[in-house]
Amino acid sequence: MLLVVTYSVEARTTLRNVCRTHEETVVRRFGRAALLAETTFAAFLACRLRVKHGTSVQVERTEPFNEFAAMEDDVREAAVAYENRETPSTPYGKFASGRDYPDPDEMRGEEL
Amino acid sequence: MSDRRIELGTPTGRVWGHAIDLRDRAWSPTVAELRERLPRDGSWRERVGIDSEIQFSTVTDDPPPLRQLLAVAGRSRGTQTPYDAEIRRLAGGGDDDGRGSDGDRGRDDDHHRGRDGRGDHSAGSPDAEDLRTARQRVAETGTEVERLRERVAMLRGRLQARRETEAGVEAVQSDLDTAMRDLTEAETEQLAAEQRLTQICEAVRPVRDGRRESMRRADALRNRLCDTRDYLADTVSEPFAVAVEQFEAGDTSSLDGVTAHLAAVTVAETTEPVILAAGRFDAAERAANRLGTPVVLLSP
Repeated sequence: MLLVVTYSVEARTTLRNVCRTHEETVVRRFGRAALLAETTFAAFLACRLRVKHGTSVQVERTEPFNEFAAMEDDVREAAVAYENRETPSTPYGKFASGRDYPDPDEMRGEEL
Repeated sequence: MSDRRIELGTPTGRVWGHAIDLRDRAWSPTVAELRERLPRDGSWRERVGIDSEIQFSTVTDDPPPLRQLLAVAGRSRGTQTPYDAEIRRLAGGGDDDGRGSDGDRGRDDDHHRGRDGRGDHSAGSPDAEDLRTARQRVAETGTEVERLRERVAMLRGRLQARRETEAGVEAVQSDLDTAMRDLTEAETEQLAAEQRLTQICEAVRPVRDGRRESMRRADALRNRLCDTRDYLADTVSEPFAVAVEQFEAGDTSSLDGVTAHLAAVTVAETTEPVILAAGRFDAAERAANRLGTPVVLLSP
């Protein structure tokens, strides 16, 4: 999908009007942002927004996040294990070191 | 009579009175022309929270929203609101009344700066043009890498075929070597372009953070202005109801706009002459007495 985020009152108003006019292209609306269906028309609208509002508009392209494809098994398993932990107050860092799960700082430094 | 008399300069001479009827005269000014010739009592207009565009003292058949009229009336009585201080703070420089974004229909923010050529965007932070150029470069280098990869693959295939038939390979080998060098160069360009784009995107983040802050302030200001209007309107709701009764209009829920406007003017504390350009009063004098202000009647 195309994610459009606005950073000025004018851009937000334009986005609001665009979403109202082209409902079929809008997947979700959130205040000053919107998710648009990944069509040429949505891309066309996004381009127009960029021309009109310059850096007050940010457009990103999103994909559904597939945790099985995007990362190694151990990271995913660590996430599941941590969410199912016995002691709710344990921070992840402590949890991980005790059990040989991936280190948070290492994960932070690594590009997906 | 009190000294509610005004003096009006017309093309044919000066006219005095507290109720001036211009409807049958030869001179028919526009509201704006007439307003220029009348005394203004604008002190309360300057105060924060009032949309200064609304024609409070001019009654026409197309009245402003009642809420705003009541707020103006409330403000004219000297009422302060709990929001005034915050509005002053948020409005900062003072010419931003937070009415919102209707101003710029054209390009906002830094689009002009990018084209200005004088490079006056703040301290090297990127503008829309920089981003666009960077994205374009990434796309171009990507296309070139694609093209060369295909070329290399094609030449490899040809080389292989030549070897198998034992035909001359030198020319093809040479082409392949060139293509592979070109490809390496193109990949380097592509990487540089991608890094440049990443860098610019990161550099634009603080610019956007700043804008986000401005948006928050503008929203807060608009909300406070609404709060102020509501507060001011509430302070005059009782006198307004009384005034409406005096205009024999019945209950306020089915009030027509012009009657409401007239009642709001009655409630306000202002000496500004009212221009009546709605077909409501037969006699200027009656209007002046009802409204408690000097009146000038114009044909609607």
